[in-house]
Amino acid sequence: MQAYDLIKEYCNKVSEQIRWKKAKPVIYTEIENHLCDQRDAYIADGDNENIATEKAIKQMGDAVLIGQELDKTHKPKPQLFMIVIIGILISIGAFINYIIDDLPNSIYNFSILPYILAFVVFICCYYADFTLLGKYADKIYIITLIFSIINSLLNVDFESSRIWILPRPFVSSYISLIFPLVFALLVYSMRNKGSKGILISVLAYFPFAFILFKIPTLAGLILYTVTAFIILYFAVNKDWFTCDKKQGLIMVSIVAIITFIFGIINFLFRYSKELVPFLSPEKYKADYGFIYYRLRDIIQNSYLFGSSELVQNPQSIEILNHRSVDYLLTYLIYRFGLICLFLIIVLAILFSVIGVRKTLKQKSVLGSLVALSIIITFVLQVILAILDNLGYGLVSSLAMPFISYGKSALFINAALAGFMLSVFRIGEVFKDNYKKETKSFISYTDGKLIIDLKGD
Amino acid sequence: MPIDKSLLTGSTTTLILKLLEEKDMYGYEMIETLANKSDHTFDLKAGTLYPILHGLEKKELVESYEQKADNDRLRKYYHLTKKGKNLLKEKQEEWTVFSNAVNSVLNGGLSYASV
Repeated sequence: MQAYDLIKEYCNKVSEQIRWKKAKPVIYTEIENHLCDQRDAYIADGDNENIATEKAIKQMGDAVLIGQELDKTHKPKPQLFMIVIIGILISIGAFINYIIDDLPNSIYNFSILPYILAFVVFICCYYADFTLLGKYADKIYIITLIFSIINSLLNVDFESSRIWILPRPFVSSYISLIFPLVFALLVYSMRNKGSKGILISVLAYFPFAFILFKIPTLAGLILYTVTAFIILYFAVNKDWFTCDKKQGLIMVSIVAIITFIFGIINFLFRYSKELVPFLSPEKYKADYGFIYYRLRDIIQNSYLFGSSELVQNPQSIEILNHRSVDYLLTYLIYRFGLICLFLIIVLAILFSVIGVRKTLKQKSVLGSLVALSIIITFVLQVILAILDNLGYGLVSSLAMPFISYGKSALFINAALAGFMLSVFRIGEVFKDNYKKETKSFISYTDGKLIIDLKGD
Repeated sequence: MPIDKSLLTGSTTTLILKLLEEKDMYGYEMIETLANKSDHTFDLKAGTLYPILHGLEKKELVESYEQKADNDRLRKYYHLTKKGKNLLKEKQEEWTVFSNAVNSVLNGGLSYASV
C-alpha cells in the first residue's frame, strides 16, 4: 500500500465512526491535513515517506477511538424551542380562523387540514438539506424570475393580484415572501466575482422589484427592498465578492440611496390621499380615515383580559364583522383582550431574537444569507401586520406569519421557517465551496513563458 | 523524567486555551508549540487534541475558520472567544490555588510562594 493510501485509510476509519454524515468531510479534511503536516515534519527530519507516514499515524492514535470521541461532539442541533414557537403560532392561527369562520359574513370554509399540512411542510423543510439551495442558487433565481415574468404577462389584471394555480387561487402578493431568499441565493452565486458580482447582484434586484411595484400593496416591495439591501451590505462586508470593500459599499450605497429616494417619491404619490387622514383619522373618519379611526377606536376600548364587546362602538365592530379576515389580530384583541396581542408579540420577538442570534453565528455565507433573508422577511411581516391591525398601517400588510387568513402565506412562511431552522440544525458543518485558483493555460512568471498542458 | 499522564489530563483544556490566547493556531501547530514550550514534557497526541478542540468549539469557547496555507492546504484555525478567555482566566486562578496548595503540602505546610 502506498504511503498516502495509509493516510486515506486512517481518515476513512475515523469518519466511519461518525454517524452524522454531513460532519464526515469536515473531520476527514482536518485529520488528513494534520497527518500530512506531521508526515512532512518527519520527512524534514530525515525519514522517508513511508516511515514518516507510519510515524504520523502512530502519533495520531487509535482511529476508532478518535472517531468515537468526535462522534459524541458532532450531532445535528435540534431546534425544539423554535419548533414549539412555530407550532404555537400555527395553532393560534388555526384557532382564530376557526373563530372568525362563525361570523355572519364568513364563507364558512374553515378546515384544520391546511394547518396540519403547513406544519408538515415546515417539518419537511426543517429536515431538508438547505445546502441544495446553494447548489442550485443561480438556477433558482432564473426559474423564479421566469415564473414571475410569465405570471405577470398572463395576469394582465394586476389589480386583482391573483394567479390561478390549480385548484385554488394563489395570491401573487405573497410571492414577494420568497423573493428575498431567491435574491440571497443569487448573491451567494456571485462569490469571488469582484465588482462585477456586486453589479450583477444590484441589477438582479430590479426585476423582482419591478414585479412587486406593479402589485397593489407596497408591503411586498418594501419587504423585498429592505431585505435585499441588508443582504448586499452583509455580503460585501463578508468580502464575499472579493473586491475592495469600500468600493463595494459605495456601489451598494449609491443604488440604495437612489432606490430610497425613488421609493419615497412613489410612496408619497401613491399614498397622498391617505397620509393626512392617517395622521389625524378623527377628522376624516367619514372617508379615508375611516379604517384607521375605527381600528384605533377598537384598540383603545379593549381590555387587557376578556371581551370588550359591551363597551365598543357598534360602528367600529361593524368593520370586524365585514373585514375580520384582514384584521384577525384586532378581532382577537376585541374578543379576548390585549393579552393575546402581547402573547403573539412575545412569541414573535422570541423567535426573531433567537433567529437573529443563530443567524449571526453561522459560519458559512450560504447559511448566513439563507437565514438572514428569512428572518428579516419574518420580522418585517410581523411589524407591518401589527401596525396594520392596530390602525397604524399606512401600507397594507401582507400577512401575520402563520396567523393571518389565507393559505398561500401560511405555506410559504412554513417552508421558509423550515429552511431557516434547517440552517440552524445542520449549518455548522457546511462549508462554502472552496475553489482552487485556476491557472491559465499560458502564463508569464519570472521571465518564463509557461504553457500548462496538464491544466492541474 | 517521564511524567504521569494523569497529571496532564485535567489541565489539557487550560493549556489549549492558553495557547490560543496568544494567537490563532491550527491543530498541528498547537501540538508543536506546546511540545516546544514545555521542552517536550507535554507531547500531546493529535487523537487527544481534536476531540477536545471540537468539544470546546461546541461550547463556544473557541471558534474556527479556514485559511489557505502556502502549500495550498486548507487549514482550520482555532480562535479563542470571549467566553473562552473568561474560562481561561478562571482556570488559571483555579490552577494557582491548586498548585499553591500542593506545593504547600509538599513543602511541609509552607506556602510555596512564601518560601
